[in-house]
Amino acid sequence: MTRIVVSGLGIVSPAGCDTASFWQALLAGYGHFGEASTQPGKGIRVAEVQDQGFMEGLGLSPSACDRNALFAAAAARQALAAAGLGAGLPRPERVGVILGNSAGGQCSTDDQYARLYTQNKRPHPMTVAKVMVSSSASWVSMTTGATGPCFVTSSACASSSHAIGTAMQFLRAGLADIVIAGGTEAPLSAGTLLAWDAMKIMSRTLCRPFAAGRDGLMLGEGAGVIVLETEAHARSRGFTPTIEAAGFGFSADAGDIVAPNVDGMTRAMTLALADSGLDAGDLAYVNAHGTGTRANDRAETQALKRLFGDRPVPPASSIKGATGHALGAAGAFEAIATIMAIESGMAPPTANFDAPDPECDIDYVPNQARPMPIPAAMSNSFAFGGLNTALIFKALK
Amino acid sequence: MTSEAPKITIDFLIGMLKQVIEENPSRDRGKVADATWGPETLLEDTGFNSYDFVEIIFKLEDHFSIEIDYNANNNINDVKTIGQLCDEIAKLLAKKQVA
Repeated sequence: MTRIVVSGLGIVSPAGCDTASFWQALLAGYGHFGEASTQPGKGIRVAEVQDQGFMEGLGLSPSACDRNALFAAAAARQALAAAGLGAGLPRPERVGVILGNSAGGQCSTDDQYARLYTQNKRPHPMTVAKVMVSSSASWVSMTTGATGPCFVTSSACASSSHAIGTAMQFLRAGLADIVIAGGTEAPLSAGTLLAWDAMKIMSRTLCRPFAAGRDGLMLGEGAGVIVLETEAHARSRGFTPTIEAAGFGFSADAGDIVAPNVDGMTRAMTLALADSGLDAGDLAYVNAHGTGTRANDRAETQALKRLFGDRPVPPASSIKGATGHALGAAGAFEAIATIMAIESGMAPPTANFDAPDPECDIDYVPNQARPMPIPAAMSNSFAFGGLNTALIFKALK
Repeated sequence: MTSEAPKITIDFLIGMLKQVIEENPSRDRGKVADATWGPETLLEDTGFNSYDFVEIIFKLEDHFSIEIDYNANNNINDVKTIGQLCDEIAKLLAKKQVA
């Protein structure tokens, strides 16, 4: 089977707007948390992108692009530069763009419909182009020049994992040589925040995945982009890859629209292992979905135990204590963290871990980053609606 | 100024439970018609799930025009019977009595 490799990473996140600062923040368990500045969502705790410098030099205007497209274009530019493709794409028709996004231009939707409902003013002419869920992929295509397969996958919190997994399949099938894959989300509008708050699952303190004192999730924002490429193509242009995108598994629960399901989670992870050709015992680290909600973290713990059976579950951690939950970008953030964990031989910690929960009795790498060899690792994403994904990356010898 | 706390009865709660379950049908809810509805009834026998809890709180907030200090990540979700659920909701409502 065609081997797929990682040739570049790019990120815009509440934990940093380049891979080096993102990684430093993850290892320190730090992300920027504050209170939403939008009315009437004010007071809800969120994780926001702080450094607005990510937009510089993109040549994009917030009046034409929703925030999620700005994030995506900035992350794609970084990832292409890291891949040695910053100066231009070879055969652009062989370069795809597959991004995850859960709900389109939510800030633009809010802004424009608020004008309509509160001021009786018609929406701006660019509203449709800004709010359509595929807009971010189009802007990445336009800013990079990629003219191959280009679309958005939308599966709530698994959107960008589905995008990365789908990109792997497109490359294996020979439909492209390179895919700019990942995801983006800009959900911190008043309407979206209040809708999430109505579910009564938002933290009022900090996001504390798997910990006894966890009281819910915290929404985040940003984009993560991974340049995926066939190994043959990467080597033919003189690029020496170090990480393989080895496995992708996905499943649907056919169960509940919001409740997690241990069976569905386990099946996605099992299928990812089968796709990668690895055994569970080969995984040295798991980057967990770990939202900090009571329901997800218990179910994911059970699923991991079921996957590993009699073998010990390797150290696992959730980075959402540092990044917040960026929904359609979360899987990309976490795939990037998984890749960087393999590259650096360091498991990022689960931040804000106050005390162990007896129902989450796995080594969740509490608060302190841990140096350890990580030849292969898995990243989980489990979405509302019972849509589950797992991605496996491994070091190339 | 002190305001009277809204009161909830078991019959009122059972009516609300039935409504929530009917409004959110799924394949696992076939036991609703067979359950004997009363304080001792196990919530799992009615097809009640954790999301229904959120829906109940939302309906109570609308019904009484109040905000209830509830987080779906609290252990309150561990209640097993309709009677226990009623007691827990009564405690949440009682907090509204504070001046």
